Amino acid sequence: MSLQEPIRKVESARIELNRVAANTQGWSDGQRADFDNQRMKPLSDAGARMAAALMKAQEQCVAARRLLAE
Amino acid sequence: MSADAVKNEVRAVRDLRGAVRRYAEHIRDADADSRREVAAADHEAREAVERRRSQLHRAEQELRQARSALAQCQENCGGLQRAVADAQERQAQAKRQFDNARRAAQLTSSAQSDLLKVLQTIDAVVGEHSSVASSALATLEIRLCQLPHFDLGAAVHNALLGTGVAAEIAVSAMGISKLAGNVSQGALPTADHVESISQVQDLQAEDGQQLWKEVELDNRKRGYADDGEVEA
Repeated sequence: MSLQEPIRKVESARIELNRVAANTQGWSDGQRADFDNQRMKPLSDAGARMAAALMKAQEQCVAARRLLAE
Repeated sequence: MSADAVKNEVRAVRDLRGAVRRYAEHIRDADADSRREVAAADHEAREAVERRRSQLHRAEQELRQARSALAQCQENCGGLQRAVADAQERQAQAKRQFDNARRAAQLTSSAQSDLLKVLQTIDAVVGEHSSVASSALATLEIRLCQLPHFDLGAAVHNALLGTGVAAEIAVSAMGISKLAGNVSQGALPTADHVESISQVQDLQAEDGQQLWKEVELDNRKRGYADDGEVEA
């Protein structure tokens, strides 16, 4: 059992989303900033929370496996 | 706004929309994978608990039998005493392993419960924001795709008639600004924006130049091709 792959997938997805968002600045700067704050930031933040929760779950599962191996 | 600028805007919106779609897909994949992995870990720990409970029961039974045999022994009981000591050791080990398995199962159960709560929230947040963002970007992309042919058309029109270019470009730019405002709020374009586009269309319709119609037809074809690409 490993959550390494889901963790990697979430983190690479966040990096890619943030990269594209940074490289596609367009239309009115102010309007784009609003769009980024209202839509892109919550998406990216959700990924960060998910990665943190997956890492915590991974630690718990590793500890459980260690107990089973004793 | 120049045709190149509009094309760049369209490309930016399309890239961003694709990025949002891929992001939501990757999050969903990771969500499903992690649910499966944690459920498997919890299942494995629960199975270990049951397996070790059986081992503990067997060890306890062997210990009871060894003690019973020792209790009935009258002489030369050294072998039975060692058998009891060995059985006690095996029972103690089985008890430790059973306790460890139970603690492991508590950990995986807690990990699963905590993770599912977070994933439920993440699902809702990513589902809502990616849906609204994709919808808003799709609308913006469609509207932007309508602008280049006004500008391109205006350039052709200008070459023929030498008038109206500045007004049309200004109206087109106004349309983008209003639409971008709506998109940032996650809302569909307002009637104001549609009206500004309609104004451009009215201006063009009045001219009735054959060349303009050909440009329009060509752009419609390109528009259909773009729609197909978006759907694909």
